Amino acid sequence: MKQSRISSFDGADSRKIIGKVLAEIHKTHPNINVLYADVGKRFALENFREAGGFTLDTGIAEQSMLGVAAGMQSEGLPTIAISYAPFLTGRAFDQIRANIGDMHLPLILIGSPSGFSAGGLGPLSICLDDIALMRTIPGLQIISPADGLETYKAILAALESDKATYIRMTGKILDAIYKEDYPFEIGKAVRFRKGNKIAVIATGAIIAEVLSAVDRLQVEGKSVSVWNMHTVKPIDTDALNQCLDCSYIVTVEEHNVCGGLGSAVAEYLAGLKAHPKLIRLGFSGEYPKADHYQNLLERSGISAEKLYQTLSRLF
Amino acid sequence: MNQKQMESFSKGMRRDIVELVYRAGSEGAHLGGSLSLVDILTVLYCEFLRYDPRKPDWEGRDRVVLSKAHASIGLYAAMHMAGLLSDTEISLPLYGDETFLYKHSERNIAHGIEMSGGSLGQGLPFALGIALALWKKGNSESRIYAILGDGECNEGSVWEAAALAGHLKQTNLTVIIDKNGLQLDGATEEIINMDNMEERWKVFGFDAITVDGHSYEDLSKAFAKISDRPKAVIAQTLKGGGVSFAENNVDWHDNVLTDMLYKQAKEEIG
Repeated sequence: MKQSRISSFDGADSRKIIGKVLAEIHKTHPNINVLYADVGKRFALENFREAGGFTLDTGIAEQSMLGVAAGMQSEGLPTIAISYAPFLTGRAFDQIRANIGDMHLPLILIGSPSGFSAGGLGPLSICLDDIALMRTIPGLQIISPADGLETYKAILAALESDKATYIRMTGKILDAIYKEDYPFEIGKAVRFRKGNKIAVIATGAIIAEVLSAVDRLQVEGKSVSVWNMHTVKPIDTDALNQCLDCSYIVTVEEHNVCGGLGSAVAEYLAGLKAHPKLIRLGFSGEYPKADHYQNLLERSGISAEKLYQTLSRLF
Repeated sequence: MNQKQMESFSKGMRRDIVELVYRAGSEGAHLGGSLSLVDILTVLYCEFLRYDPRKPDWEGRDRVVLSKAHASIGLYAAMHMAGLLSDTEISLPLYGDETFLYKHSERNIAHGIEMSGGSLGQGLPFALGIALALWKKGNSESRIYAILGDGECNEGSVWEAAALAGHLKQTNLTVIIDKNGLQLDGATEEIINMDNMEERWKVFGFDAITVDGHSYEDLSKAFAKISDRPKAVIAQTLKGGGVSFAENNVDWHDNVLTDMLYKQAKEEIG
């Protein structure tokens, strides 16, 4: 891929990146159809429309949107349904059960903002349970991209996989984690750093905070492995096996520690005779009150500073 | 098809329905809402639907989306009478891996079953998606019929999709409401009174008409009407029609046919 295209995804808003990425994907996949529930402006979908893509605003009606998208997909038209993550996955959960879980229609769902991204709007806009819900849907792939380039690659790979996929967008401004092109494969984690004692496994934009904390430790001569588990389902068990010689595995996610990446890793480790101690970092407890994104990361212990403190204590 | 042939189609359907409900055994099945569909499906399959029994997934087919999928037994009976299911297939069990005829239909395009049912309120959005897709594919011949129950219209997702279909003026879509007046807990008007059903669909942008759901002529006229809007045919029906003990009897939404009742039902249908 051209370096100019890679840089064009750098620093984008985690919602507006979608319109930009879809416009790019339209060049190679002109038949894709995009449905959305009154979020066209938020996702800058005019970029996709101006590129010649088919869009339909189904109104503020996520349940109906899922059904309409499924009906289109059932006729062989590749269809992407987009909305705010909590309403897409929560309100329309039963439609996802029927259309994807049961009928296995290869829809692509894009939910944004997820995690703490919409923290300023309050607890019902903060999305901390979508991975938990989506993991129960048979056959549904779950990808949480780390940056703009990975978002492009994830949607493209999902389309080409011909399997239903939930793309979960976290973070606010997506600074490039990947500075140059790299091979992306669904279900195959990417290692960023190497260390022997601790392996951090993270998903989504939070990887930026993880890298910041780990690079600080590196300056102190303490090495930590970092894995970008961009695909939460199917989880990359080969990558997990490579972490088994560590003393600690630390999962980091903008999600409830119940049901998300940490749970998926715990479920795998629980089936082994022996495994490193697992520390699951993320959200737990009562829904948080409205606050700035960084403050919410701080309070959940997953800001760069808090991660640095937690990881330091493990050495 | 003449009146006599259509009556024979309806009678064959009722026989199949009773056989299938009896085969459901002690778990019972939805006799009432399957029987209320008989004449509607007779008119559709005998007079209107484009289908090919040799190729049920033919692209040029009309699509039937049974949203009130608890009445799937009624759909199978119609498909059998229309030649879309063989005598062997209609004799399949209703449970397990060796069948594809479940009490709530499972999507099976090879047999022309468009959607998995069992969760009410999902058929109209799905049918609207098909309708849009056919327009996009340049298929202007095929029509989409979404069959809903009147109780099902309690579901909000029905009205989300109705609003969108009306807004889009989706003229290749016909909604059929099987208005048998009963739902699981009792009379629909006592649970949520939606008695002005025709007006409701009109307000949402549909060309709506109320007909006698057991009159071939009324149904036929309603289905034939050309409109510049999506259509809603509100078919007033008798739940359990044709089997006396089930007629307009809320207990027969879903119930068990004992040997004695099975015998009686068969005798009444003839």
